[in-house]
Amino acid sequence: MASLIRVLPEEIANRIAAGEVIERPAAVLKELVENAFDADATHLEIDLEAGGTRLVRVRDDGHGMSTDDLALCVQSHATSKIASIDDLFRVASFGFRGEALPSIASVSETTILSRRAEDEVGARLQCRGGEIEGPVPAGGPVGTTVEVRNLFFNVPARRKFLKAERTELSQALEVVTRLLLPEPDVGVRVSHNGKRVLEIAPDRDLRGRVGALFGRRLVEPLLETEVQDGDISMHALIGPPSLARTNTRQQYLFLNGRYIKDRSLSFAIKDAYRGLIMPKEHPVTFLFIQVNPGDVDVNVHPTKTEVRFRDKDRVFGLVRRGVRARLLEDGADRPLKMGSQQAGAPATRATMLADLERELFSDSPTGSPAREADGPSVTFVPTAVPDDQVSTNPCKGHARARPVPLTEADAGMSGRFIQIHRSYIVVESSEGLRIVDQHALHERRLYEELLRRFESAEGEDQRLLVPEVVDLGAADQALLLDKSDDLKALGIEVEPFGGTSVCVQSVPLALSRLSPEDLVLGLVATLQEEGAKLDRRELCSEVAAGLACRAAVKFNDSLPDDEIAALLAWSARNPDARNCPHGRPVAVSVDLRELENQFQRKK
Amino acid sequence: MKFRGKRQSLLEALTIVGSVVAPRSIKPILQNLRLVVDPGGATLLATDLEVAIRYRVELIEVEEGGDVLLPVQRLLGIFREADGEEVTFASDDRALRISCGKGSFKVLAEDPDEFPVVPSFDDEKAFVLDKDPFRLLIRKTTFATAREKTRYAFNGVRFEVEGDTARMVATDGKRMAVKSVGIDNPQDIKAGHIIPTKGLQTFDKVLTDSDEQVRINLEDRQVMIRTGCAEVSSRLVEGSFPRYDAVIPKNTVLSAPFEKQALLSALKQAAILTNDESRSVRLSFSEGKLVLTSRAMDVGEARVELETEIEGEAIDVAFNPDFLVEGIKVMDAERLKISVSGKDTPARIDGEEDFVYVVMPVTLRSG
Repeated sequence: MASLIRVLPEEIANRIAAGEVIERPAAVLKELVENAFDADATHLEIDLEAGGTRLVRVRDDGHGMSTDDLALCVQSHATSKIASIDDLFRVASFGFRGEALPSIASVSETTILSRRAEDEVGARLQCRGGEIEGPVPAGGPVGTTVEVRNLFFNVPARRKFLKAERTELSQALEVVTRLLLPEPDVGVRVSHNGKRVLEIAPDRDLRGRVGALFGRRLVEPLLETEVQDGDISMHALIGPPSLARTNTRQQYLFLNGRYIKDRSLSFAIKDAYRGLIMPKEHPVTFLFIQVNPGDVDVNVHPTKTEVRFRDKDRVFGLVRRGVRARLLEDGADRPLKMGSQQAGAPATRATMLADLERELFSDSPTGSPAREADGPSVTFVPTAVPDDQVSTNPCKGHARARPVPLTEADAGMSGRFIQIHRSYIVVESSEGLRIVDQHALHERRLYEELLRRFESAEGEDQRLLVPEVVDLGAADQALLLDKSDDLKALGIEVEPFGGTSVCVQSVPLALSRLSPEDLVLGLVATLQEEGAKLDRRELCSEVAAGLACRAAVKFNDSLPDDEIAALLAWSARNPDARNCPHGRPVAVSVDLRELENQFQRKK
Repeated sequence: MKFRGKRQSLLEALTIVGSVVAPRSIKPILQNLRLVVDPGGATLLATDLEVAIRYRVELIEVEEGGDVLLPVQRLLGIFREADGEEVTFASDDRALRISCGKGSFKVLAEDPDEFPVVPSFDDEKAFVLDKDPFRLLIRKTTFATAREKTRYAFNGVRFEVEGDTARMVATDGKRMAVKSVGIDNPQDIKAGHIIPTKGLQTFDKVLTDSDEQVRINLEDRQVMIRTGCAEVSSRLVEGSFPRYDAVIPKNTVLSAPFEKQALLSALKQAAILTNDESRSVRLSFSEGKLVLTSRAMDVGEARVELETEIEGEAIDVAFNPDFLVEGIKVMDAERLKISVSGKDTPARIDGEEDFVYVVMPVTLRSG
C-alpha cells in the first residue's frame, strides 16, 4: 500500500509559503523594493496596474545580478544575505529569508531582467507559476527590473481576497511610504495605470523626506531630536501636542531602517506625551531607532514588522526620555490666534490619499494626475484637513493655541495679574501678556500632586469624621471595590457598606475641595470607561486626571489674589506643565508685536 | 409714593436686605427688592426663594405711601456713593426719583405684583429665646458647615430644641462643632431641623443690639425668626444628620492644656509652610511639650514648640491646621484642652462651657 504521507512538491510548498508573506500586491512591492535597497539602488521606477493586481514592476539602478545569481534567485531559501545560522542574528539587510522571490514567482507571471555594470550583456529570466524559463541573455540598463504580472492567477482562492483597486493602491503607497521614509537618499517615481502618482527626488535629510511624503505643513511644526544611550540611538521628528490626532496612522516607527510595530514602544511614546495630550489622542511621530543588529531579533514573523529586543527596557527608556525631553524643551511662545488668522491644519496622509484617489478614479478623463508641485520634489499638493481629521477639543470653544510656559519673571512681575470673568487670569509678561485658564492650571497642579503621591506612595489623607456612604449599584460597587488596593495608594479608602453601597473612610488632602460622594462618582466614571484594561500605573494616571478635573477650581469661581499668586508661582516652578491632563493648554500668550499689528501701529 | 428718610439707616437696611438677593438668579425679578411705604415707615422685602426677609425702616416723613420693585444693586450704589444725610423718594410715572445730596436719580421701577409672596411671621406658634445665646449658637457652629454643595445636610446646621436646652451642630464630615445653651421652654417645644447656612447668616445679621429677644417659629418646611425690625424666614434642609453624640470621642489616650492665644499662634506659624495640596501640621505630644511641625514640597518646613503638661501617653497626630484654628478661634476661653484618641480617630477640643469641637486627623502615608 502506498504511503499516504508525501513530501510536497516544491512548487506547491512555495505556493503555500507565498500565502504567508505575499497576501496582496503591496507585499510584492515591499519585497521588490527591499531587494532594490539591498542592491544599493538610488532611484526606483515603480509601475502599478489595477492596484498592483495586474502589474507590479520595480526598476532599480542597483548593482544587478550575474546570470548565475539570476538563476538561483527564484529558488527557495536562496539568499545572498545569510550563509550560516549565526548570520541570522546579525541581519542588517532587508530581505534575508530567501522566500520572497520564489514565493512571488510561484503565484504570478514574473520576469526578471538584470545587468551588472561589469557585464556587457544582462540576462532575463521568466517564471510562470513557478515554471522557470531562462536565464537568457538580454539587453538592458544596469540594475534589476522585476515585473510581476497577474498575481495569484493560479491561486483563485487568494485572488478572491484581493480588495478593491483603490484599497490595494493605497496599501501599496503606504508600503512605499514606510520604505522610503528611512531612505532619504533614494528617489522614487510611482505610476498607476500609466499615470504618475508620486515622484520624490532624493532628499537632503529626514525632515525633507517627511515633508516630501506628508506635505510641508505637517513637517513644519515637527520637533527634531537625536539621543543616544551607548549603542542605542534615536533620531526623531515628533509633533507638538497641538498636532495630536485621533488615530495612530501618523506614528511611524523604524528600527535599523526597517518599519516595525511594537506595543511597548508605542506605550513609551504615549507615556512621553502623558499630560500633554488627551488620553484618547495620538501624537504624530516619526521615530528612527538604531540598535546593534545583534541585539534584536527581527526573524519573529515573516512580515518582519515585529521584533524582539535583547534589552527592551533600555530602548523603551531612551524613546520615552528622548521624546519627553524634546517636548518639554519646546517652550517657545506661540501667539494667541486672533481675528482672521486661521492656522492651516496640516495635511494628513489619509487626505492626500483620498485626494489622489478622487483624481485617479474619477470618471472625468480631464483630471491630470500630476498636479503642480508643492516643492520641486513632490507631485501632489497636500490639502487642508477636514475637521474630522483633526482631533477635537473636549472643552468647547477653545482655540487650540499652542500652550506656553510661565516663567518666574512673568509670574513675579510686580504681581500684576487680574482675574477676568472669574475664569481667566491675565498676567503681564515680558513679551506682552498671557492668559491663563484657571481651571486648566489648577487641574494640572492637582494632577501632578496626585500622580506624585501615587508614584512615591506618600501623602496625606483627611480621615472622615462622618464616613460618607454612597449607593452605587451592584456593578459599580464591584468595579470600585475591585480596585480598592490601587485606590488606597492614592489615599482613597473605600470599603463595602451593606447592600450595594460603599463607605468612604478617607480622601487625599489635595482633593478636599471635592465632596467624598463626588469623588466616588468620579472614580466610578473613570473605571467604567477605562478600568478593566488599565494597569495600575495607567489607572492611576486616569484616576488622577479625572479627579483633578473635578476638584479643580471651575470657571465662574472667583479666586482670592493669594490663591492666584500661588497658582502662578506653581506654574513658574513647573514650566513643563503647559497642558491640563486632557491636553488643553494652560495658557496662551499675546505678543506685544501682535497687539501693535492689531492696532495698526506697525506694518 | 413720596417720602423722606435718613440715608444712613436706609443704607444699613439695604445692605442687610441686599445680602439675601442672589448675585445671579434664574429669575431676574429676584434681583429686585420690594419697597412698601405706609404712614408709619418703609418695609423692604427680598428673597432668593430659599431665604426671605422683611425689614422695617423708620422714615422722617411720609407724604404718600406706595409699593414698587427696585433693583437692589443700583439702589445700594446710590446710597453708598451719594452724599447728604437725607434722601427723598418721589414717584414719577413708572419710575422713582431719588434725590440725595447733590445727586438726583431716576430709577425705573417694576410691577410689585410680579414679586413672590414673602411670608409673614405667625406669632401664635412662636417661642422666645434671648438674643445673645441664639447668636452664640449661630456663630460657634456655622463656620463648620461644608463649603462644597453636595451633601445637603452638611450645608446646614442642625438646630435642636429639647427641654431646657437649645443646641446647634455643624459638620462638613471632617470636623464638627456643637454648642448648647440653656433656654426657658414653657411650651415644652421639641424640635430638630437643619437650617441652611445662608439662612443662619441672615439671622445673624438682623440680630441687632437694640433687641433683647428673638422670637422663633419652627415649622415643617421652614424656620422664621422675628426681631424688632426684621422677619427672616429660611427653608429647611432635608436629609439625615449624623448623631453628634456618637461622633464625639469619649475615650482619649492623651490630653494637654494650652493657653488659647499661644496655641493659635503656634498653629498659624506652622501653617505658613504648608500649601493647598499638603495642608497638614503634625502635633507631637511628649513629656512637657508639644512640637508642631509642617513640611510641604516646594515650600519648606516649620517647627514650633509649646510647653504643656500632657496627661496620658506621648503621641504624634496630624491635622489640617485650618480646622484647628477655625474651631479654637470661636472659643470664649483663656485656656483650652486638646484630647486625642488616636492617630486616625477623632480628637476633641474643650474650653468654653457647653461647646465641643471635634476634628478628624490627617494620616500620613509613606512608601
